[in-house]
Formats: sequence, C-alpha cells, structure tokens
Amino acid sequence: MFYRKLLLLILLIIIVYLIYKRYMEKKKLTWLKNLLREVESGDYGKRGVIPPNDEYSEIYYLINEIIRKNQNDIIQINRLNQQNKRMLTSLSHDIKTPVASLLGYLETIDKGLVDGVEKEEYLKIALNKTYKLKEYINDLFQLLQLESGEYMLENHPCNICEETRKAFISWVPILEEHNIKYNVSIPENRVVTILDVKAYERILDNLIKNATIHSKCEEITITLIEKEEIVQVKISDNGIGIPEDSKDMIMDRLYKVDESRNTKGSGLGLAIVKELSDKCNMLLEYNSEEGKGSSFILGVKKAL
Amino acid sequence: MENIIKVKGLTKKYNNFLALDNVSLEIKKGRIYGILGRNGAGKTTIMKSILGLTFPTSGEIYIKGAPIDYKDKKQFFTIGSMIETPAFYSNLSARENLELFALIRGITQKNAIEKALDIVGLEINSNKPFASFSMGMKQRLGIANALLHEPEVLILDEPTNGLDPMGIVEVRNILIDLCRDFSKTILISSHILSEIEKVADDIAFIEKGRVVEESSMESIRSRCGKYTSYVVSDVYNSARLLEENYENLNYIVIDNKEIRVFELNDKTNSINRLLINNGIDVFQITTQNESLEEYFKKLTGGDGK
Repeated sequence: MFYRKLLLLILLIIIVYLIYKRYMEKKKLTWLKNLLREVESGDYGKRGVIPPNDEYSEIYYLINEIIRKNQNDIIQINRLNQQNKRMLTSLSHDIKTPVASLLGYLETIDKGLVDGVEKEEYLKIALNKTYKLKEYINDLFQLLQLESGEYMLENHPCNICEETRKAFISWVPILEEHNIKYNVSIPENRVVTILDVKAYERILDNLIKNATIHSKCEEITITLIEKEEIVQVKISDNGIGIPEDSKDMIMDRLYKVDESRNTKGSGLGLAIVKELSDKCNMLLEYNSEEGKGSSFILGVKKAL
Repeated sequence: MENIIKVKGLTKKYNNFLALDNVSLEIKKGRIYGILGRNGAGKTTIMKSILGLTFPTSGEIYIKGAPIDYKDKKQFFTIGSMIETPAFYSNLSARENLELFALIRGITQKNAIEKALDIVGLEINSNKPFASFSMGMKQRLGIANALLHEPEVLILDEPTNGLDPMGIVEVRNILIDLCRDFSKTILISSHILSEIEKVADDIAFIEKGRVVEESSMESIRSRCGKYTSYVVSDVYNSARLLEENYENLNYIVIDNKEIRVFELNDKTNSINRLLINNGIDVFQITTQNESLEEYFKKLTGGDGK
C-alpha cells in the first residue's frame, strides 16, 4: 500500500516537473517568436537576450548573428549616404567660392569698369580661375567614377622604369621654374610590370604635384628599386610634412593640410591617388615628419 | 531621424523639492546626446526616470515610440546604463564579474564578455580583483557591463567622473567608436562643458531642473565661433574685391547675399569701406565672437564649471 502511494507521488512529481519544463520552453519560444516578428517589421537593433547556460542559448545566439549581419549592411548603406551628403555640402563651397570671384572679375570687365592693361590682367586672372575650376571638376568626376566602380582599367605589360621616367620628365620645367632641386634614381634595365599606363601616370603626377606645390619643399627625390617580387617607387620631398593629427585624414577627399582657402589645386589629389592605387592593386605607404618632409611609396607587383 | 527616447513634460517632485520641471528632450537614434548642467541640476534624475528607476510626478517617457510600461522589463533590455559609481564584487576579476551579470541578465552572443572587455580596453585574461582597479578601470568595467547585452542605447551618468586626463581621453574615444562603428545611441551627462563639446552631436543645457536649451552641436557651433558676416548687394564683386585687396583672406561665400570672413581682425572697417567705395551696398555686418563657454555661461547665468 505504501509503495503504491510512493509510486503515485513520484509520478505526480515527474508530471508536474514535465509540465513546468514545457511551460518554460513555451515561454522562451514565444519570446523568440515575438523577437522575430519585431525584427521582421524592420527593427534590426533587437536581440534575444538569454543566459549562457540556458539550453536555448545556441539558437538565440545564431538568430542574433543573422539579425546583426542585416543591421550592419543597413548601417553601411546609411553611412555612405551620410558621407555623400557631407561631401555635397562642403564641395558646394569649394565650387561656389571660386565661381563667385570669377564672376566678380568677369562682371567688372563686362561693365567696362576696367580697360587697357588692367583689363588684360583681369582676363588672365579669370582665365586661370576657370582652368583651375575645370581641373577641380575633372578631378571630382574622376574620383566619383573611381568610387562608384565605373573606371575600367586597361592593363598592359610595360617597362615601369620607362613610364616613371616619362612621367617625371614632364615635370622638370615646372620644378626648375619653382627652383626645386631634383634627384632621380631609376635603373636603366627593363623591369616589366602590368600597368594601366594612364592610371600610373596620374598617380605619379598627383604625387609629384603634391610635393611641388603643397609641400613648399626645396628638393624632390624619385627612386625606383627593383625587389624580388615587387617594384618600389618612392617620391620624397623635404617640405613642410604632414602634421601628426592629420596623417589619417589626408587621403580623405575633402581634406587639405593648408587651411587657407587660397591654395592651388583641389583637395582631391591624394584621394585620387589612393583610389587609383587600390584599383590597380598597388600598395601605398607614406611617411612624414612635420617640418622635415614626406615620402610616398608605391609598391607595384612585377609581371611573372 | 527617429527619436529612440522621448521625454515629454517630465516633472519630478521629492516632497517639496522640484527636481525636474517640465523637462522635454528628444534623443535621436545613432547620435551622442549630452546633458550639461551643474551638480544638482537634475541630470541624474532625468536618466533614472528614463530607466524606470524612479517614477515621474507627471509627464511621459517613450522608448522607441512606446510609453514606458513599468511592469514590462523587456523594453529596458535595449538600454544599457551606468548610473553613478559602478558597483562590482571586489574579490572577483573583471571577467568573473561580467560572467555573473551574464548569468543574471543574459547575453546575446557566445563571446559577449570578451567583446565587451575588448571594446573598453580591459584585459580579458587578467585575474586582478576589482578592488585593486584604478578609477579609470572601474569606469571602464562599468561601461563594459552596460554593453554586455548589446543594447542599442547607452545611458552613462558622468562617465568621465574621477578620471585622470588620459582616462578621460580613453573613455571619450570609446564613446565615439561605439557611436560611429556600432551605431549605438549614447546619452551622457556631465558638468564639464569641454567634455560634452568634444563628443556630443546634440546637447541639452539643464539648470535647476529645467531645460534651458536643446539643440544640435552643429547649430550651436555655427552660432558661436569667430567670424564677421557681411550681407551685401553683390556677392560676386565683393569676392573679387576681397581677393584683389587682401592676400590670403580666409572667406567663404554662403549664398548670393552673404560672405563670411573668418578670424576676427581689425579689417572690418577697411573691408566695409572697400565695398562701399566700389558701389556695393553693405546691408549688414555682424561679428560673431562667442566661444561655446561664453554661450553656456550666458545661458546658465553663471559659471558653467
């Protein structure tokens, strides 16, 4: 008799326990269902929170991972949109201001307020301003093209030494005009790499222009060193260098170290160098010491 | 941009003391919101009200668009907080403390503890007991604990309190990274203007339980700063004249009426004369010379520190 009662009691306890377990499980599943419903209606910030020792924790964690990935994608898109908005605002100043002064000069000429030598001067100034503006707009367009992935590379095997020499020679007259000394150290032998010649020339042009016009230096050095698998092209100057806190930002398309708004050249040169070198699979490094100078190093893979 | 937390007409009375008087705030998603006010102005009371730790005398608080339901703990899961001094078990290490909280509160991923400690820069495998932590490490563990369950919103009460200059910079960088890289919304309070100024996107000035001003940092900054603004009849010619007569003048054209010359200088008179002598009408010259500190002093009628 006693044993039967004991058996019944044990059975009862087991049943109550099973009912309790089922109740807790249902609760967690309902919770999960509500979470998924909220995520489905667009709230990707939601997560399922659960203690690590719970048997459902693995499932919750996996679901959280999926939600997180979705959220990250959306964040990325929003960030790009924000970036573009900021760019439009600050670029509009970069275009409005030169256009305003350009119109100032032209209107003065048009109204006949100047003549003779002064008129000639004004025309020259207006012409130069227009060239600069054109250059800026071209740079901007190329940068946008690069960033949107629309730029098509035309790669050919070529002698990088020859191409580097060619790019540099066109700068010699300008360097001499600015009284900048130059040292060139490029090997005479053939070193073959796969290049998009136009892109490579553009990169070198921008780097040399940076050194010539922005760094206020007295000497520019170009060296080309052939290593086992890559070719290192280094352009260095002994100019004002890049301040420590600007170092990360100089490749950012809106940044100019020289804060005065009257510098020549767009702030886009280095941003274009970065995009192009990325696109061409070249490594880009730079070192700089404020007051001592900067050097930019391109790493180009050799053709096998 | 949606409001992730909205406070409307919040009033809190302790017996006869009016701690909060009709406070209304809107905290926008993905931005850092700073509440600036003197000690005792009501900053902590606002945060406690949002967290459901104290009940309003009147007014409404909305979390993600829904009014607070004090019986439903789940709506607070999306918020992580550190109010006043963070409290942990003195004999346990950082990791052990967080493991306890993980069991109590729950976590959202397997390596939640490692990730949280990594974000705040505390060593994962250290056995150092909490009792021997520096002030900076204690604050950082507090932030890590607030992050443990991957909340969307962080509410931190004076997170740089008691920190040395290095510690202040570290915490500031953690907050900026959390907002920029993880898209978190952060509500912080402080009585130090320079701290809020460096970090906040939006700011509310609280004085004696009242919101004296609520605004974005951007709009306050554009109202402060040092420049002279000229509203003229002919922007193009003004621009040309400025360039011709002044070398390297730092100016921008705002629209077809206004030119702003940065950095105050004694050139205002001569610029004005130059423009007028060339047939340009100058309708308005405004000089903006207020630093953020001066602005704050003016708002609160006294020393902001």
